[in-house]
Amino acid sequence: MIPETLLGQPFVLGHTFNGLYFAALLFFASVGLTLVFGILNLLNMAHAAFYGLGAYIAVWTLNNIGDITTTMVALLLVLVIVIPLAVFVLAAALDKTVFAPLYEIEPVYQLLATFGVILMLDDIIKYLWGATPISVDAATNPSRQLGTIDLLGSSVSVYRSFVILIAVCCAVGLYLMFVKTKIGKISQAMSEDYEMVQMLGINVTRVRVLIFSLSIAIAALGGALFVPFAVATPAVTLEYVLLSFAVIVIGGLGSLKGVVVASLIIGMVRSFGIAYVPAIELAIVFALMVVVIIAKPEGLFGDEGVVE
Amino acid sequence: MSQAPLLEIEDITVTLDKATVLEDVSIRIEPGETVALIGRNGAGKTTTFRTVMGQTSIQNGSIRVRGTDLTDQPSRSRIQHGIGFAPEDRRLFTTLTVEDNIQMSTWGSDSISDEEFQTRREQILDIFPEMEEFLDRPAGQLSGGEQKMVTVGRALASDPDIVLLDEPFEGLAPSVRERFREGVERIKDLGISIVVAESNVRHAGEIADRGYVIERGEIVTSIDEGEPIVDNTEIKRIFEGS
Repeated sequence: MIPETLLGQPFVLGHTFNGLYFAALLFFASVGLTLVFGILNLLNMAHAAFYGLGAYIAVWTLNNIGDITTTMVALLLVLVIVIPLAVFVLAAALDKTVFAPLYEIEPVYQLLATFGVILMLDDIIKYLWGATPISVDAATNPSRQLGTIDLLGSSVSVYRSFVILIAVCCAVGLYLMFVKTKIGKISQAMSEDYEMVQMLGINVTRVRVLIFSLSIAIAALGGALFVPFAVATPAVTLEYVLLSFAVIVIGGLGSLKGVVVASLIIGMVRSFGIAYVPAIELAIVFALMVVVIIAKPEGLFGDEGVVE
Repeated sequence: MSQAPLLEIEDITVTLDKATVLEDVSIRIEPGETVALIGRNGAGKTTTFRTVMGQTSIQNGSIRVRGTDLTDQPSRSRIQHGIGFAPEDRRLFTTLTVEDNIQMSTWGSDSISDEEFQTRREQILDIFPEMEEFLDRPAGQLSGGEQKMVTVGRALASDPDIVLLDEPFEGLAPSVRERFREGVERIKDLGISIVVAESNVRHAGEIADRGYVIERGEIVTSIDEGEPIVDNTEIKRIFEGS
């Protein structure tokens, strides 16, 4: 029997909100993975590891920024602009060195090689920040400072609302980039026929570096936004590597719409799973993934284009 | 001193998966010429075009445009040197509109403004006025004949000096084919050189000034201007076995 308190309106509203928050984080962790595969044909298992890296960089930055500023706007700008931008530059350098040879090899070898990148990143993180969990100090933690508001009897985190808003802006921004801008249309074309785009005089390497770096930067943005409400641990990387694969398997590789829908599904399943059956909430997510693989191996939207 | 040819393919040899697919292929194209590359399916016509466009690894030989060696330059440099390409299998970007497909061939160059593209767009619509009706439609929704038109339009959008048309008439209904032949004549009238890969000798004879015959990756003969293409002895041997 489900207790009465687990069926009340504030309870359902609260978990729906949490589901949206989980969905936002999953979107950040997975969208780049699906874009890099859909457009550049690279199955980058290490993608969500940059989510973990973003989390650690955010903790370190927020804990060291207190002497310079503690204003909310500055803290949020660091999380939303500065850290993703720094990781964008790092990703551009990694694309040209570590990842460049991987675009030419079979997906199975891409998976193995990028698994190696996860292990490298994991050790680098442990070397820089240690293996024990670290968290953001209260003085520079935007989540704590923003507090909560009451929404129809349910206490809602203002910071989590901000994260959901950024995810929505990011999804809409990506969609508009793909359908309205030259670089987005070229990216769509590359997802269909990379070679033909080259023959039309486009510098595909430049576009590749841009898409790869943008994708990684969005993952780091997710990690940075996640950590004021949680702690950074090496386990975060592994958890989001697995969950991001569940997202792209359910949504369909290479589909922006697929990532949005699958993130929402998994976000809600997790949130309500934690409420009703906490011991098996992750098992439900991966059972769902198995069902999709059997019923529709290409995923819910995998046979459509990047922005169809 | 004589001027360098517009396009000169000299002694090109290409090996794919340890098999030689082109051997010592040499072709010269002068400004304003329409030249046919005639051969059966699998003879090496498409590979020759792909090689000109920088999509294969060349073992020997060179590709020059007006004397500039492009052999080791990246594929994207071809369009900047005035080469347009309309592949046999169309290779349009099906989710993008026809207009985007055409305009994309100008996006790789900073020197072509959107205003300049509008002039070229008018020129393309002058050749294929039918395209006006479906410029805003996704290319994947078009018929085969319409897609062929867009492919040629895309090759023309970068203002080329020479276009490579790979089997432009293949799979077209007779009425569409005739309309397409008129379009090719209009391209010739603009002074653009054309190299047309053809497995249909009659089609090649209708539009080309002269030709090369390719068999098993080698140029076996060339047909000079004024010589009949359809009645060429080497062509009869290859296509009719006589």
